[in-house]
Amino acid sequence: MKILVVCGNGLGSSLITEMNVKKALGNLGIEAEVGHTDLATSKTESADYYLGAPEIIENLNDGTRKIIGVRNIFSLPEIESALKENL
Amino acid sequence: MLIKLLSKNQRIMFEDKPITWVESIKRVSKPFLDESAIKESYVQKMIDNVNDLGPYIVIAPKIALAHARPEDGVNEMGLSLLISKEPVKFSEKEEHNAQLIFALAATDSVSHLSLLSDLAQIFGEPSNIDMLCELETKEEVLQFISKCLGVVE
Repeated sequence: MKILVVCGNGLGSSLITEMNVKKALGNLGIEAEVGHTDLATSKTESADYYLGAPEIIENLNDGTRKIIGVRNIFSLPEIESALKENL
Repeated sequence: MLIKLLSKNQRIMFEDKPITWVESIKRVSKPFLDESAIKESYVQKMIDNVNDLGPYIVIAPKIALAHARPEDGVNEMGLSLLISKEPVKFSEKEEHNAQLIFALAATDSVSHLSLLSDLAQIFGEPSNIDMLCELETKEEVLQFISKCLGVVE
C-alpha cells in the first residue's frame, strides 16, 4: 500500500504531514509506504491513497483516486482516525 | 534549529491591529527581505500560492505556514513568526483564521527537516497553540519554545 502526502509545494506542510502519517501508521500497526510531493507532480504519480489539506486534495478528486483530507497536520489523533476511516 | 533561527534579528514579530492575510505574509517576510535572505519574488510567490491553491497554508487551527519553493528566490534558510492578537482571515471560513503566521524560506528539500520536526513537536500538543498566541515578547516566545522542546537554557 502506498500513501502519497500532497501539498502545494511539496516541501513544507507535506513533510510535517508525512512524519505524522508514519507515526500514526506505527501507532495503528499498519505497514505502508509513505511519500510526499507537490500537487502538480501528484497528478502523475500513482498511489493507493492521496492525503493532504482538504482544499489541496480536492483537486485530485476525479472519481478514480482515493483521497483523505486532514485539517490539522499536527494532530496525531486526527490523522489516526482519518487513516482508520479510509484505509 | 528552530530556536537558533527564530533568535536572529527581528524574526519574531507582534501585531495588535487587524491585518489582511496579504499584509500578514508581507510583514512576516520583511526581516528576510531586509537581510536579503529572500528576494521580493519569493514573497509574491507565497501570496500567489494562496490565491492559486486556496488557504491550505493554514495547516492547523490558528497556524499558517507561508512558504514557496527554493527556486522562487531563497538565498538563505530562515523561519520567522508573526503573532497576531486579531485572527488573520485566510478565507471567509473560521477554520482558516490564523494568529501564528510563520514564513519559511527553504534552500532545498531536506535541510529544514529538523525545523519542521521541532514545529511538529511543539504543536503536537494542541494547548501550546493557544499559549503561544498569548505571549507578548520575543523573550517569552523563545523561552516557551525552549520549554516545549525540552531545551535547557
